[in-house]
Amino acid sequence: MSDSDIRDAMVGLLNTAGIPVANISFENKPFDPDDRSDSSYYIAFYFMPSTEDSAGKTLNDDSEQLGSIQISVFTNLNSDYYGTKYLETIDTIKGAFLTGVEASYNGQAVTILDSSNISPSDSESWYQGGLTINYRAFKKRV
Amino acid sequence: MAGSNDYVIKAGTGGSEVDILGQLDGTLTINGAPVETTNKSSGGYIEYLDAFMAGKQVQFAGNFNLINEAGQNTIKGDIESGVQAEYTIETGVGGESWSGKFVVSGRSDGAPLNGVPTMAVTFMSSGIYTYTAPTVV
Repeated sequence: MSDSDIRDAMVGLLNTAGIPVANISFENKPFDPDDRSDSSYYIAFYFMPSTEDSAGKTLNDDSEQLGSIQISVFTNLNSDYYGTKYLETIDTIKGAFLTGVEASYNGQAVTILDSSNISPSDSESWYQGGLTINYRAFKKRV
Repeated sequence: MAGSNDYVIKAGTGGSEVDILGQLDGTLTINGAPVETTNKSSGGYIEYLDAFMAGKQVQFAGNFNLINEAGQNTIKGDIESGVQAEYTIETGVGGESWSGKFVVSGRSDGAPLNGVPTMAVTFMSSGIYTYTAPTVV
Protein backbone atom coordinates (compact mmCIF):
# COMPACT_ATOMS: atom_id res chain seq x y z
CA MET A 1 0.00 0.00 0.00
CA SER A 2 1.59 3.24 -1.07
CA ASP A 3 1.09 6.59 -2.69
CA SER A 4 2.07 4.92 -5.93
CA ASP A 5 -0.85 2.49 -5.58
CA ILE A 6 -3.21 5.39 -4.88
CA ARG A 7 -1.98 7.15 -8.00
CA ASP A 8 -2.38 4.01 -10.08
CA ALA A 9 -5.92 3.52 -8.77
CA MET A 10 -6.75 7.02 -9.96
CA VAL A 11 -5.14 6.36 -13.33
CA GLY A 12 -7.27 3.23 -13.53
CA LEU A 13 -10.38 5.34 -13.02
CA LEU A 14 -9.22 7.76 -15.67
CA ASN A 15 -8.81 4.87 -18.07
CA THR A 16 -12.49 4.00 -17.64
CA ALA A 17 -13.35 7.40 -19.10
CA GLY A 18 -12.20 6.15 -22.48
CA ILE A 19 -9.74 8.94 -23.24
CA PRO A 20 -7.18 7.46 -25.66
CA VAL A 21 -3.83 6.92 -23.99
CA ALA A 22 -2.22 8.88 -26.83
CA ASN A 23 -4.16 11.92 -25.61
CA ILE A 24 -3.01 11.72 -22.00
CA SER A 25 0.09 13.43 -20.72
CA PHE A 26 1.42 12.07 -17.44
CA GLU A 27 3.76 13.76 -15.03
CA ASN A 28 7.44 13.69 -15.84
CA LYS A 29 6.93 11.77 -19.06
CA PRO A 30 7.64 13.01 -22.59
CA PHE A 31 4.48 13.85 -24.48
CA ASP A 32 3.67 15.28 -27.88
CA PRO A 33 0.09 16.23 -28.79
CA ASP A 34 -1.24 14.74 -31.99
CA ASP A 35 -1.36 16.68 -35.25
CA ARG A 36 -3.32 19.84 -34.80
CA SER A 37 -6.87 20.09 -36.05
CA ASP A 38 -10.05 21.68 -34.78
CA SER A 39 -10.85 18.52 -32.85
CA SER A 40 -7.42 18.18 -31.31
CA TYR A 41 -7.30 17.82 -27.58
CA TYR A 42 -5.27 16.26 -24.85
CA ILE A 43 -5.37 16.04 -21.09
CA ALA A 44 -2.65 16.21 -18.48
CA PHE A 45 -2.81 14.15 -15.30
CA TYR A 46 -1.27 15.37 -12.05
CA PHE A 47 -1.31 13.41 -8.78
CA MET A 48 -1.21 15.61 -5.69
CA PRO A 49 -1.47 13.84 -2.32
CA SER A 50 -2.02 16.33 0.47
CA THR A 51 -2.62 15.57 4.13
CA GLU A 52 -2.04 12.31 5.93
CA ASP A 53 -3.34 11.66 9.42
CA SER A 54 -3.70 8.64 11.62
CA ALA A 55 -7.05 6.92 11.36
CA GLY A 56 -6.61 5.37 14.79
CA LYS A 57 -4.43 5.42 17.87
CA THR A 58 -2.14 2.48 17.26
CA LEU A 59 0.69 1.90 14.84
CA ASN A 60 -1.33 -0.89 13.32
CA ASP A 61 -3.99 1.58 12.26
CA ASP A 62 -4.33 3.01 8.79
CA SER A 63 -3.41 6.51 7.76
CA GLU A 64 -6.11 8.60 6.17
CA GLN A 65 -4.75 10.38 3.15
CA LEU A 66 -6.61 13.25 1.55
CA GLY A 67 -5.44 14.58 -1.75
CA SER A 68 -6.44 15.48 -5.22
CA ILE A 69 -5.66 14.90 -8.81
CA GLN A 70 -5.72 17.67 -11.33
CA ILE A 71 -6.68 16.92 -14.87
CA SER A 72 -5.96 19.75 -17.25
CA VAL A 73 -7.87 19.71 -20.51
CA PHE A 74 -6.37 21.30 -23.61
CA THR A 75 -8.43 21.84 -26.75
CA ASN A 76 -7.51 23.64 -29.92
CA LEU A 77 -7.56 27.41 -29.49
CA ASN A 78 -9.94 29.35 -31.73
CA SER A 79 -11.55 26.20 -33.10
CA ASP A 80 -15.03 25.99 -34.60
CA TYR A 81 -16.30 24.02 -31.64
CA TYR A 82 -17.38 27.03 -29.52
CA GLY A 83 -15.77 25.38 -26.52
CA THR A 84 -18.01 22.35 -26.72
CA LYS A 85 -15.10 20.00 -27.32
CA TYR A 86 -13.66 21.20 -24.06
CA LEU A 87 -16.95 20.70 -22.20
CA GLU A 88 -17.52 17.29 -23.73
CA THR A 89 -14.09 16.20 -22.55
CA ILE A 90 -14.74 17.56 -19.08
CA ASP A 91 -18.05 15.67 -18.94
CA THR A 92 -16.34 12.48 -20.04
CA ILE A 93 -13.80 12.78 -17.23
CA LYS A 94 -16.40 13.75 -14.64
CA GLY A 95 -18.34 10.61 -15.50
CA ALA A 96 -15.42 8.49 -14.36
CA PHE A 97 -14.87 10.40 -11.12
CA LEU A 98 -18.34 10.62 -9.60
CA THR A 99 -18.65 11.28 -5.89
CA GLY A 100 -18.58 8.02 -3.96
CA VAL A 101 -16.93 6.01 -6.71
CA GLU A 102 -14.30 3.66 -5.32
CA ALA A 103 -11.28 2.43 -7.19
CA SER A 104 -8.50 0.14 -6.11
CA TYR A 105 -5.08 -0.92 -7.25
CA ASN A 106 -2.95 -3.59 -5.66
CA GLY A 107 -5.41 -3.76 -2.77
CA GLN A 108 -5.29 -0.01 -2.13
CA ALA A 109 -8.77 1.53 -2.20
CA VAL A 110 -9.46 5.16 -3.04
CA THR A 111 -12.78 6.98 -2.75
CA ILE A 112 -13.73 10.00 -4.82
CA LEU A 113 -15.05 12.84 -2.68
CA ASP A 114 -15.87 15.73 -5.00
CA SER A 115 -14.55 17.78 -7.86
CA SER A 116 -14.30 21.38 -8.90
CA ASN A 117 -13.81 23.05 -12.25
CA ILE A 118 -10.83 25.08 -13.31
CA SER A 119 -12.14 27.81 -15.57
CA PRO A 120 -10.73 27.58 -19.08
CA SER A 121 -8.59 30.30 -20.55
CA ASP A 122 -6.15 30.80 -23.41
CA SER A 123 -2.82 29.08 -22.87
CA GLU A 124 -0.39 29.61 -25.70
CA SER A 125 -2.00 27.80 -28.62
CA TRP A 126 -4.47 25.88 -26.47
CA TYR A 127 -7.74 26.53 -24.71
CA GLN A 128 -6.94 25.15 -21.25
CA GLY A 129 -9.07 24.36 -18.24
CA GLY A 130 -9.64 21.29 -16.18
CA LEU A 131 -10.84 19.59 -13.06
CA THR A 132 -9.58 19.17 -9.55
CA ILE A 133 -10.82 15.90 -8.08
CA ASN A 134 -10.50 15.27 -4.36
CA TYR A 135 -10.09 11.80 -2.91
CA ARG A 136 -9.72 9.95 0.37
CA ALA A 137 -7.68 6.80 0.87
CA PHE A 138 -6.84 4.71 3.89
CA LYS A 139 -3.39 3.22 3.65
CA LYS A 140 -1.37 1.00 5.93
CA ARG A 141 1.08 2.88 8.14
CA VAL A 142 3.46 0.01 8.74
CA MET B 1 5.21 12.00 29.14
CA ALA B 2 1.73 11.41 27.94
CA GLY B 3 1.23 11.41 24.22
CA SER B 4 -1.76 12.27 22.11
CA ASN B 5 -2.46 8.62 21.42
CA ASP B 6 -2.71 7.38 24.97
CA TYR B 7 -5.78 5.80 26.49
CA VAL B 8 -6.11 2.88 24.17
CA ILE B 9 -8.58 0.08 24.80
CA LYS B 10 -7.47 -3.37 23.70
CA ALA B 11 -9.20 -6.71 23.54
CA GLY B 12 -7.87 -9.26 26.00
CA THR B 13 -5.80 -9.16 29.16
CA GLY B 14 -2.64 -10.56 30.67
CA GLY B 15 -0.18 -9.69 27.97
CA SER B 16 -2.22 -11.06 25.08
CA GLU B 17 -3.97 -7.82 24.28
CA VAL B 18 -4.95 -7.17 20.69
CA ASP B 19 -5.42 -3.77 19.11
CA ILE B 20 -8.91 -2.70 18.12
CA LEU B 21 -8.26 -0.70 15.00
CA GLY B 22 -9.85 2.63 14.26
CA GLN B 23 -9.95 4.01 17.79
CA LEU B 24 -10.23 7.76 17.95
CA ASP B 25 -10.87 9.81 21.09
CA GLY B 26 -12.02 8.26 24.33
CA THR B 27 -13.12 9.19 27.82
CA LEU B 28 -12.30 7.20 30.92
CA THR B 29 -14.56 7.40 33.96
CA ILE B 30 -14.03 5.70 37.30
CA ASN B 31 -17.31 5.17 39.08
CA GLY B 32 -17.72 4.57 42.79
CA ALA B 33 -19.27 6.30 45.76
CA PRO B 34 -18.16 6.41 49.38
CA VAL B 35 -20.47 4.79 51.92
CA GLU B 36 -21.59 7.17 54.60
CA THR B 37 -21.34 5.99 58.20
CA THR B 38 -22.25 9.21 59.92
CA ASN B 39 -23.82 8.64 63.35
CA LYS B 40 -24.23 10.42 66.63
CA SER B 41 -20.65 9.76 67.63
CA SER B 42 -19.48 11.59 64.52
CA GLY B 43 -20.15 14.79 66.38
CA GLY B 44 -22.09 16.30 63.56
CA TYR B 45 -19.42 15.62 60.93
CA ILE B 46 -19.98 13.45 57.93
CA GLU B 47 -18.05 10.18 57.95
CA TYR B 48 -17.42 7.56 55.30
CA LEU B 49 -16.43 3.94 55.51
CA ASP B 50 -12.67 3.75 55.25
CA ALA B 51 -11.01 1.89 52.39
CA PHE B 52 -14.28 1.07 50.68
CA MET B 53 -16.11 2.38 47.63
CA ALA B 54 -19.52 1.18 46.57
CA GLY B 55 -20.42 0.70 42.93
CA LYS B 56 -16.87 0.43 41.67
CA GLN B 57 -16.69 0.39 37.95
CA VAL B 58 -14.50 1.68 35.16
CA GLN B 59 -16.13 2.98 32.04
CA PHE B 60 -14.53 3.86 28.75
CA ALA B 61 -16.48 5.72 26.13
CA GLY B 62 -14.69 5.50 22.82
CA ASN B 63 -15.18 6.59 19.25
CA PHE B 64 -14.01 4.48 16.35
CA ASN B 65 -13.70 4.94 12.65
CA LEU B 66 -16.04 2.23 11.42
CA ILE B 67 -14.02 -0.32 9.52
CA ASN B 68 -14.51 -3.94 8.68
CA GLU B 69 -12.00 -5.24 11.17
CA ALA B 70 -12.00 -8.33 13.38
CA GLY B 71 -11.77 -6.48 16.70
CA GLN B 72 -14.54 -4.08 15.85
CA ASN B 73 -16.72 -6.86 14.53
CA THR B 74 -16.33 -8.72 17.81
CA ILE B 75 -17.46 -5.61 19.66
CA LYS B 76 -20.46 -5.27 17.38
CA GLY B 77 -21.42 -8.87 18.06
CA ASP B 78 -20.99 -8.46 21.81
CA ILE B 79 -23.21 -5.39 21.78
CA GLU B 80 -25.98 -7.36 20.13
CA SER B 81 -25.66 -10.38 22.42
CA GLY B 82 -24.65 -8.70 25.67
CA VAL B 83 -21.72 -11.08 25.95
CA GLN B 84 -18.99 -9.83 28.29
CA ALA B 85 -15.40 -10.05 27.19
CA GLU B 86 -12.01 -9.14 28.56
CA TYR B 87 -10.53 -5.78 27.73
CA THR B 88 -7.63 -3.67 28.89
CA ILE B 89 -7.47 0.10 28.98
CA GLU B 90 -3.94 1.45 28.80
CA THR B 91 -3.25 5.08 29.57
CA GLY B 92 0.32 5.18 28.37
CA VAL B 93 1.12 7.26 31.46
CA GLY B 94 3.44 5.28 33.70
CA GLY B 95 1.89 1.98 32.68
CA GLU B 96 -1.44 2.67 34.37
CA SER B 97 -4.13 0.31 33.19
CA TRP B 98 -7.43 -1.34 33.99
CA SER B 99 -8.31 -4.80 32.80
CA GLY B 100 -11.16 -7.19 33.32
CA LYS B 101 -14.54 -8.19 32.00
CA PHE B 102 -16.44 -5.47 30.24
CA VAL B 103 -19.89 -5.25 28.73
CA VAL B 104 -20.18 -3.05 25.66
CA SER B 105 -23.26 -0.98 25.04
CA GLY B 106 -24.59 2.34 23.89
CA ARG B 107 -23.55 1.99 20.29
CA SER B 108 -24.27 5.10 18.31
CA ASP B 109 -23.08 5.42 14.74
CA GLY B 110 -22.54 8.59 12.78
CA ALA B 111 -22.66 8.52 9.02
CA PRO B 112 -21.80 11.92 7.54
CA LEU B 113 -22.32 12.57 3.86
CA ASN B 114 -19.06 12.04 2.04
CA GLY B 115 -17.33 11.38 5.34
CA VAL B 116 -16.01 8.45 7.31
CA PRO B 117 -18.69 6.69 9.42
CA THR B 118 -17.89 6.48 13.11
CA MET B 119 -19.12 4.33 15.99
CA ALA B 120 -19.37 5.50 19.57
CA VAL B 121 -19.54 2.77 22.21
CA THR B 122 -19.19 2.50 25.96
CA PHE B 123 -17.24 -0.25 27.69
CA MET B 124 -18.44 -0.86 31.25
CA SER B 125 -16.57 -3.15 33.61
CA SER B 126 -18.54 -5.98 35.15
CA GLY B 127 -17.29 -7.40 38.41
CA ILE B 128 -13.80 -7.07 39.75
CA TYR B 129 -11.19 -5.48 37.55
CA THR B 130 -7.43 -5.35 37.87
CA TYR B 131 -5.90 -1.96 38.36
CA THR B 132 -2.24 -1.36 37.60
CA ALA B 133 -0.97 1.80 39.24
CA PRO B 134 1.36 4.08 37.32
CA THR B 135 5.03 3.99 38.15
CA VAL B 136 7.61 6.72 37.89
CA VAL B 137 10.72 5.60 36.06
